[in-house]
Amino acid sequence: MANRRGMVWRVLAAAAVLLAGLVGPAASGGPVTITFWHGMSGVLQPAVNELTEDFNKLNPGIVVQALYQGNYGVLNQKLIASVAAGNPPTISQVFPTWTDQLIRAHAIVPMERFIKGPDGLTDEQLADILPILRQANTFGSVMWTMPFNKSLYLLFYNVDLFKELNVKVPQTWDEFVAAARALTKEEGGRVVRYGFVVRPVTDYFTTMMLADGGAFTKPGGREVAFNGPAGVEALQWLADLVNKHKVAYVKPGFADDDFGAGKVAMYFATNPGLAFAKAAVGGKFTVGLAPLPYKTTRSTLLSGTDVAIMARATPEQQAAAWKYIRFITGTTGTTRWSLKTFYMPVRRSALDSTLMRVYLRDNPEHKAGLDSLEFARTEPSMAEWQEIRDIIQEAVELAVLGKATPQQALDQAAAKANRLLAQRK
Amino acid sequence: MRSRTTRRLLEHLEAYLFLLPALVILGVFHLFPIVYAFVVSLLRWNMIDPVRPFIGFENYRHLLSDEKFLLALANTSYYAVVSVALAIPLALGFAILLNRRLVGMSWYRTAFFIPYVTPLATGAMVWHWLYNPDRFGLLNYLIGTIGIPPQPWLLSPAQAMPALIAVAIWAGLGRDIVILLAGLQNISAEYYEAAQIDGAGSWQLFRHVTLPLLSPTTYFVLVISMIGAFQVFALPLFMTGGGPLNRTLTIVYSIYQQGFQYFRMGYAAAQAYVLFLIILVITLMQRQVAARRVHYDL
Repeated sequence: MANRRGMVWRVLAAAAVLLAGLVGPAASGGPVTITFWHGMSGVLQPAVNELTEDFNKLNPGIVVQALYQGNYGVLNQKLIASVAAGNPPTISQVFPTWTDQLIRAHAIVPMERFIKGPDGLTDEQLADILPILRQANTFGSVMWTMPFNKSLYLLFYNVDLFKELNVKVPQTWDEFVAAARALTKEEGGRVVRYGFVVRPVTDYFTTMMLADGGAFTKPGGREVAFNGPAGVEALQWLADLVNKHKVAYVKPGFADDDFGAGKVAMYFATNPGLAFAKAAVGGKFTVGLAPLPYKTTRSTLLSGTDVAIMARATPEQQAAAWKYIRFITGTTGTTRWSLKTFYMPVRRSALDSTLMRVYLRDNPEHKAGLDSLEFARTEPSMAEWQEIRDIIQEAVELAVLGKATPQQALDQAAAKANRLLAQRK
Repeated sequence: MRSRTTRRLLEHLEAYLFLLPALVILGVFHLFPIVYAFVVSLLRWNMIDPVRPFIGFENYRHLLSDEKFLLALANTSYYAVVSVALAIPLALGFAILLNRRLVGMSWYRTAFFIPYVTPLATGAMVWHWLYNPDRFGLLNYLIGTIGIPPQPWLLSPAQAMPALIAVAIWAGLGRDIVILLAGLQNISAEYYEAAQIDGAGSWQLFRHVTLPLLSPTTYFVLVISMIGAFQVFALPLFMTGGGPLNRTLTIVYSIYQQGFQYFRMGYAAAQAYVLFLIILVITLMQRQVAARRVHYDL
């Protein structure tokens, strides 16, 4: 019996030791450590790490840990779960739709607090950030986030093939169809190369809708407008490329591998897609960039994420986070970032910098991307838009696969989207 | 003087202490979430909003009129019925073939089991390549050699689900075969000898000896296959993203989408509870049938 009781005590003692281990050591002085969650994979991750290492060297009192979390979908899940668990990172990449959700949950602090704070930006430094980016980071007249890796949809094309077949870079929709036809190649009744690839995704449709003068929502933003005449015409045009003109095929995934293998001559992607395209092409030919083709209105769509500072972080961490954000979005930071990743620089001064000028002198075809900036447009940023994007994608699939007319597909999608928007408080 | 119950409790204290870790894990990670999920299913909540109104059974009511959920339900039923109905006879056929004494039999058995131990993500990737649409895919190349035009496979709303079912059967067949093979080897040779003496041919042996005596195993495979089929998630996630046109959207995929892409936790929890009820009902129905059809002896 005594032996037994001894056993009980030993078990209890072991449990006590375990508990003590769980409680953990108390916080101690030293450098402020902050975490930056991002979704920058492949060639983009080393670029984040390089900027972060430089910042850490220049700021001995701060340690920034840049942590890759997986693709944007996974980053979104982890971020929301970490907020729910009360243990979020200090900084995270966020899409505008996430920002909307995070603001409502009081999970982030406004960037404006730091921009206008003692360690903030001068009026000139703030005005140096491109107006469309400032606008895209402003929610209810407060700047909540800072633009970081922003991109624009562009036309990617095979420069060597264009030269060989004497095809000029198309500007309008009609020129585009003609170019795609010239680039499509048949051999023995089989198409061995297509002029274009239609990814049945939301952005292929919305960029073309904008290029025909369409809009995402009606003024006021309470109802969608993508099923208007411009939307219908744009979707019909995309479906026709596949089904009527037969100069394009449908592929849901990224197109860079097919492009590199010479199976397709043109596709739409955002600036950082250039790094992936170059990797896929492997120097076999030159990758060209041009503004998207248009019907009535030259336009493109702004994409990519911003950075936010989380409300849970301590004031010291938040101050350190701001310092880091100021560094990576400053003129030097954003120029270096842009040259490494092909994302848009977020500042006008970066566009005018010597580094950028030298680069553009050597790579003149990339000027097209920067030129698109002046007519870039933004998507609605309400949290519901995330689901509406999926609803639009369904309509695009329906039309491209010929299961419904563009009008039917878009009207159905608009009805669903309007129901969602009506629930918004 | 301590009371009897106290003394008994103290005597068992040690046992309870040993049980404690398991009880804590079960409680925290299994029992609590089951109860909590039900509570969440009565809320409108995006996981981080401090405001989470109680809306009663509104989420459940919404389910009944939600086309997308009803489509997911239909897709999942289609997947479950077709994949299980094809897989079990196929597995039984292979199990009988593999139950013979042949040179290199263990090699064949291993070959059938390999897809099952291959991580599904890897298998799905390879199949995704095979199903490449247009002229560039391997499967389209193969059917092209016998004159069939290239098929869109995963891009086609009609072909995507059958394509997934084929992969599911390929991946799961090894497990079913191994279980059925074990069942076959458990049948005593005496039954066959007795039937042969009575003049039974090979079909009669199969029909009146093998099938009835294998029925407990077949029943087991049926139940776990059905439950597994209703929980299918990884295949559409890896191969189709639930598309095209939501034709491969399954119930668990829908729960994932509502919960972790649109952050509608209440609605996702309600769907999870409905799935639980469906699986419960199907399993109970199978038990009813089994009571009449499963033989543990002749």
